[in-house]
Amino acid sequence: MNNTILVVDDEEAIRNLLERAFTKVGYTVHSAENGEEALEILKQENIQVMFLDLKLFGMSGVELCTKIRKDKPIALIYAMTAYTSLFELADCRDAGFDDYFTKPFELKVLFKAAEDAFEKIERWKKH
Amino acid sequence: MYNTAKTRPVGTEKPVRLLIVEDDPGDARLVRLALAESGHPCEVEVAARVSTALERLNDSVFDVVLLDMGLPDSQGIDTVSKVHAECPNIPIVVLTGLDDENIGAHAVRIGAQEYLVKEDISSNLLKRTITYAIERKQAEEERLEREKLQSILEIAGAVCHELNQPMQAISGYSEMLMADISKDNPLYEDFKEIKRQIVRMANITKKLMRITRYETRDYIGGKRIIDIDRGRMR
Repeated sequence: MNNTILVVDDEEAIRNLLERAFTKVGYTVHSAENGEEALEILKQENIQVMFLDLKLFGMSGVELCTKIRKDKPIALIYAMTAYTSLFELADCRDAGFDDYFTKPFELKVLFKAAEDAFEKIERWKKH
Repeated sequence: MYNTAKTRPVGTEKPVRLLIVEDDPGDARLVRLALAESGHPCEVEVAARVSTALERLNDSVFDVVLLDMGLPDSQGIDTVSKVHAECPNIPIVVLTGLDDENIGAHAVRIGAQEYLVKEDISSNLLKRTITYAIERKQAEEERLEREKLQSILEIAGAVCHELNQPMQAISGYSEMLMADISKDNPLYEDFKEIKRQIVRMANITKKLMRITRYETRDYIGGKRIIDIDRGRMR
């Protein structure tokens, strides 16, 4: 099943890494470098699993998540960040993020998150 | 940090080391007498010329400089700058004549801690002025050290954050390479070592970021932080 993931990060190196990594394990990946681009992609594609960097040009990751949540209440949205502060974790949960990964993370951790995300969506759809 | 400068805290019973830069022996004696009356232990040296004073400041340690403005080789207000440049950590108290109060005020603006009119010097005033000059200088030095440290920590925090991006890429690609080859492949251990070193780097930057308490709320709230890697404000 061709599950689709959205990656939003203003660092080209990170977008490239995650595109390659997720594609290798069988997902389809769309990526964006900022919030506006991400929202455009979401208008065209039905994506339910997303990884957003918190630090973006213009709209922040938190603002973007809040916007996405309005239209996609069941989407699994994950935060990526270089910081490790508990304040940030609390802010992320308030904004609607489902989980939070600090860089540098192991890819296998993200793979597990994606796998669990798609499993959840399948399960929820059955209700 | 204050103690690494060439000065000592006031309020101990250790003598205050004074350099009086004064060419008139009469005036110099009056100041010495006023100091003796004040009761606080002092070690006093007198230099009659600015050039001698600069040499002494270079060779020896003083807690405060009393600088007369009417010296034979004085260049007026430039003398204050010169002495200040020679001993930036030592408070300077300028001595002026009745007609020269303006110079005194100017001297304070460019680095002296205080000025005294020679005709008005009493031992009480001298003692108070010297004490406050030393204390104020000490407080100033401590503030500058704190500000310097704060700037360094802010930059360190920003650098740590930026380093996380390339570290993520290196770690991720190593992980992908390891996934592509069998564990028997000799390259496997090499890539594993790369990943291990990245984890080590990450722990170092995490510790440093915790120390700097790099304020993450700044960007979550929409405020701007500096993007060091690309030299732009985010």
